[in-house]
Amino acid sequence: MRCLYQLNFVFIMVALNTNVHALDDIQVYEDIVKPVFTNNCTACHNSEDLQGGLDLSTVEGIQQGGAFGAVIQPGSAEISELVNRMTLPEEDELAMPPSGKERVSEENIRLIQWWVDSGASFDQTVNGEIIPDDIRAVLTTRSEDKKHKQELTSLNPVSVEDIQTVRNHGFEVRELAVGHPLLDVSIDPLKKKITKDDIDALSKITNNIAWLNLSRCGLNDEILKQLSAMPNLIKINLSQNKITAQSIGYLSTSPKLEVINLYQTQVGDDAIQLLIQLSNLKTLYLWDSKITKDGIQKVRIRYPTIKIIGDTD
Amino acid sequence: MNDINRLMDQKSRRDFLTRSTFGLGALALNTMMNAEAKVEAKQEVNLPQHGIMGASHFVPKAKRVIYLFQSGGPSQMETFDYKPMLDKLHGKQLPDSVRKGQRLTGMSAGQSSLPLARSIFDFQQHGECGAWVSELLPHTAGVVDDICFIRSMHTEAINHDPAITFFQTGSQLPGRPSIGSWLSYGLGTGNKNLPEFIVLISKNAGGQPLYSRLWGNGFLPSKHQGVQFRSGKDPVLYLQNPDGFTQANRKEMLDVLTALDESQYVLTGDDEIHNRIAQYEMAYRMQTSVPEALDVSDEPDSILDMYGEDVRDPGTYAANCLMARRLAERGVKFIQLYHQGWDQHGGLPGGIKKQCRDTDQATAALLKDLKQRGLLEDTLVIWGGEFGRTNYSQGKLEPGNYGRDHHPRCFTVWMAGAGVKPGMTYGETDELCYNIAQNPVHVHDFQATMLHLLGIDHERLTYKYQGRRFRLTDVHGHIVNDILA
Repeated sequence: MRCLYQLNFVFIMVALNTNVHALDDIQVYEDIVKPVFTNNCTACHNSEDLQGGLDLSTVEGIQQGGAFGAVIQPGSAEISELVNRMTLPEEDELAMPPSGKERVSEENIRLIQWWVDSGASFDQTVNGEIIPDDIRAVLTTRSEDKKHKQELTSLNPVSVEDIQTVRNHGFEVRELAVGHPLLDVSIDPLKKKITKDDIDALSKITNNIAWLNLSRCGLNDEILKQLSAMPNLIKINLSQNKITAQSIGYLSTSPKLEVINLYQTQVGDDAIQLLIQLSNLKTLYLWDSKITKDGIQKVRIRYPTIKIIGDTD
Repeated sequence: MNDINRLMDQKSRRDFLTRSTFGLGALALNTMMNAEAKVEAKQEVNLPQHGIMGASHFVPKAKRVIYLFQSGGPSQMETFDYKPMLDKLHGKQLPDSVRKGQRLTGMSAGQSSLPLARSIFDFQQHGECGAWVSELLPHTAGVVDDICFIRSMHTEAINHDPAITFFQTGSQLPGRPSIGSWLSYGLGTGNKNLPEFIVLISKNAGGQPLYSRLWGNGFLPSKHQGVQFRSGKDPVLYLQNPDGFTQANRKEMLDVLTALDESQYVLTGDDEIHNRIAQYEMAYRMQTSVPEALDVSDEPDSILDMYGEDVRDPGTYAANCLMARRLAERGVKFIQLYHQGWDQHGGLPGGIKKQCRDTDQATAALLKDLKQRGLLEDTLVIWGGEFGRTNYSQGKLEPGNYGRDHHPRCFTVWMAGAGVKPGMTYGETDELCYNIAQNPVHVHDFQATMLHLLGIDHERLTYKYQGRRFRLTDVHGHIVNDILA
């Protein structure tokens, strides 16, 4: 039975490996393990405090172990003191971090087990090897987060003057969060006739726009054409405007787009081909647009991961 | 100490610096001014109208909240918390082992008998998530896949006013700022032409009173108080200028008034004068923005029909739900609805039936309407009362009639929309619906979670008053991570 289970397991792994995401940017120790130690352990286990004779803040310290000897047995998490201490019940006096301190999350314990089991290397990268699927899922998320963070830090914040210009054209502009380089931009709800000049003004900050709301402002294809590329756009609301599939074409410069709101627009089935080319698309609002039920059905069948909000069904 | 000195003491630090250049060493002053200037330069991206925080602490899921407060304490057993065990034990006494000596209100504490009462209404599972909903709420039952039910809410208060005050301000004692005021203070507005905190009360319901301090600013500056719209044809009075009086006249009058107010401010240094000026300016902008926001003549019949017949009667719960959607569309941060009358101490079957009839369709319509417009994406909708109701009958348990007393130990609220897991039921009460069996959610946890969805760290939005820093969750509150999408 056990043998059968393992065979099955290998089969799944092989199947998964046919669709491997590149994770080669992940340094297992630096990116995965070290942050856990920093967050949960090194307040006490550092080179100065050396609680239990253990320093988890350096590679040497980890290799050296504590007062009871080695804390890691490369290749076997099961007999590694470090892992065992983290998995003891919270009330156990040997449990680490000690009772009352923040526990290491299940996910992080699992990652550390995997790191130890696969040799506890300090310079290992992830490349093409067989990785259990739960670990792969976590690594994929971490890898995306890492890329995302790198991209954000390389993005220049926009100048206050440029933001003021945009505001003078009737836009509400806010940072997504305090100090965040990306912006949340909305048109004033009282502005009913947006002009090319208004859209032009936006061009000064388009690199940094993440959320853009242009609902019900008299927008049309001709005016929207003015909009320059928005590489960091994640959500756009174009609802209640007389725009057509042509406008969707302009969105091809926004590969990160996840949410598009097209309710009460003239956008029809000819836009579907353009919409599905946006590889990160997650949600489409199509109520009262010109896209037919058949059109919606086709997208639903071919792209089941895209959530389509059509009628109030 | 004379009055002027006393008032000088109240002045803000910046005023003090600018007004007393001759009083301090030039060097020290310069250093201080520079430090201040640097702080301001860093925050300039966000405007004063964006509140004290300028932007959220972290990227928010919700940009606004619509809170459908069901005042009086709706019974969880006739709405969302299905208890087949009560069918079996109907008429039997509430066991002491379950009550565990809990205090009862004076209204039923003296009863010689505390007979368990089953729900007279049937329950069925609905949607893909299989949530249990009673037959009284057929429309809500149709949208359960968008809702996250929290069946394990509990509170500390056992009577209406302290309990509502606790929900809205984080304290049972009056005097703290309400949720909407905290948001106005912290995040300001997304639309400078409308107040960031608007209150709508159903006219087609009555019951335990609501006091305006429930949307009060407490110790926060008074411009952060909620603006109540009247429940009727003219939600805001005197929006129109009188005959022969132009908008330019109005502007001129307000400019002169502002100049007068400013001169008074120079004299007294009372910060509340600036709040008053801000309110006059808001009123002026509302002369344009409010008629536009409230004019429902552009709503097609299909939308009105969805909300139900009452929607055509301004001031009803249904009309207020539609209004809430329109205000949400226009960037109002916190829209607070109140619907009274859920206090069924006696005659519960008839009473709650009416309550559900008056609210069910419009509540569900609001969710659908927000969803089809993409607004549910970043609007958090909350439905709930101030406490639950007892599993035993208050007064005589008769066939077809019974009552229920206040019960703080368990009740149901629900959330839907921005950042909340849809189609989820969280927490459990015991088989008799008296205590919480799993995953209790305290009022402060609920508040912490709501603020979290708005991108606010509930421990960091504070206001120093009378020597200590206050916050909505006081010194409590844990985010309910399990319900976050």
